[in-house]
Amino acid sequence: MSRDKKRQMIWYQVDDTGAIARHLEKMAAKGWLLESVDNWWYIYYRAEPARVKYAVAFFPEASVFDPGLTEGQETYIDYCRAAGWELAAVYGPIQYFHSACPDPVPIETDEAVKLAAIRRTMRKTSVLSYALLLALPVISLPVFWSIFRRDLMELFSNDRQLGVIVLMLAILLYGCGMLLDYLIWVLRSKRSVAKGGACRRPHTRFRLLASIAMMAVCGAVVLSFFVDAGTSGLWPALALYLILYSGVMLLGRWVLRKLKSRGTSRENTKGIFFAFAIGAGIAVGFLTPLLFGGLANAGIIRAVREPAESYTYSNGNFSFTRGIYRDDLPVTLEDLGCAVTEEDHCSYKAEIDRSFLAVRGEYTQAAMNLDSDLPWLYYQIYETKWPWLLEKCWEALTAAEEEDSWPVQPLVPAPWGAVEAYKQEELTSYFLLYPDRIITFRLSEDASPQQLDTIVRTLQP
Amino acid sequence: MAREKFQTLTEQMFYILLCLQRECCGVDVMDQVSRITEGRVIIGPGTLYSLLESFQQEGFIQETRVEGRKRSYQITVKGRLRLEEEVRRLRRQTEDYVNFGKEANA
Repeated sequence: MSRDKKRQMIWYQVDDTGAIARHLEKMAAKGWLLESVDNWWYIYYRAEPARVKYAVAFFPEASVFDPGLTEGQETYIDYCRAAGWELAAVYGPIQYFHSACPDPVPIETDEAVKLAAIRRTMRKTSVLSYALLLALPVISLPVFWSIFRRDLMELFSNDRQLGVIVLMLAILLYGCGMLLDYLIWVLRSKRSVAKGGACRRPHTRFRLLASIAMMAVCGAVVLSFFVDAGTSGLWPALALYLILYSGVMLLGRWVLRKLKSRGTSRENTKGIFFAFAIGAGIAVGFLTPLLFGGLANAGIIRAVREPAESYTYSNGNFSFTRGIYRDDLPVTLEDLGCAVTEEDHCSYKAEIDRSFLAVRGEYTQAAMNLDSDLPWLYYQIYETKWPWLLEKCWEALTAAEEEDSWPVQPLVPAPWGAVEAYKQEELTSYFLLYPDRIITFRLSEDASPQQLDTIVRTLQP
Repeated sequence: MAREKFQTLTEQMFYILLCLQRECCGVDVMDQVSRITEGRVIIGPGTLYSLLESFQQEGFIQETRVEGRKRSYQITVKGRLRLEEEVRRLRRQTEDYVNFGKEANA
């Protein structure tokens, strides 16, 4: 953007006409006159600082898909010109006028007519946008509900999942809040107009704060994704995602601009644009896994952590290669008295997820050599400082196991030093609740009392 | 909005219909209303456009001429009847005021 142009993000809601006009008047006093407006930005050009009056008026019949001004809109603008208002910018049904007269005739002099125009425009613009925005958390609700009910431990210890949930909740709150605020404004304005008064002033400050908070949440979540991706080596994948989606959005804008500049009718532009949006969505959906697969094959991104070494098992009929990890484990098969040899090609894998709420460690020790007689060991340690969270996770964990038709038997907790203890006979799994952690472990064969004692002594707080 | 609204004409509606007893375009309506009422009633351009559209949809006025972007309108029989009805209502209102005023002062 050149020194004579300025771009400014739109923070105001469409119906907040008074606040928008005052803002534009302040900008004009600073020497910036409005040149154009799009979905996100006001674009200004440099001019002599001047006292200019601005007004925002609605022409609900117009659409962002129109190739230019409609006949009716031109007539409307002619009337405004005759009243001393010049068109500064137009974005679909929203028109921005300015006037050099210090006290021009207001564009709307009948509050009922004004309210009707605002409501018709809002239905086509902001209300529709918020409804679409709200569709996002509503669509994801069943997925989150299922995670919430089943795997709370994973959810609360995973920054990415928590980030998405925070984002969805923020969207839900923001969308509902804005729609509710608009609804209240409509009801209060209708009442006021019915009594011969004016439309009420919208809650500009509330809306500005809500929009800033929403942007801050979005920014924080994206930043946390980048930090997380940076530490896990997945940042090229995230960058690719952002480039891909930004590219599609830019392409969409370009398609819309091209169609409009060619004079394509509103209906055709709308049809082509939505066909493009659906097509692009499907294409991105198909392309993303292919691109990620390609990048993973080329070694640019790693979907899983790089193992210390790899081992190829072969028995003449088939062979496969597996990664062997050499992570430190709190308890190993060796600690349990098992004889682990080089021929077992044992992998020691520790995956630790951390969030501001909880830490979840998942530990596995298993022989990669299928001919080995060595048992395998799997356990999880889930720690949190929030007792209510621990309780919820414990309830979800035991309930989920019951739902999976693997009944759990209560054990006397005292010998385990635990608050509660359960065993799942069929899977030889144990679930132990302590004041600050949950421990679950499983050995591929029944553990001896000594082995159980070793595991519990090492893992308990 | 329109039907409910037109049960009683606002001043702006009244003067628009009054001006359109003679064919004229929108811009002329704005000027004439201001002149007739000596600036007491002002019609904003946005309000004028919306009301002309609503009147046309209601059949109170009709488009008579289109010269480029300039559109002229004239009141219809239905519009004239509505205007006369409004005048009668206002007259009755004034009479009530006068009669009641006399009684109150007597």
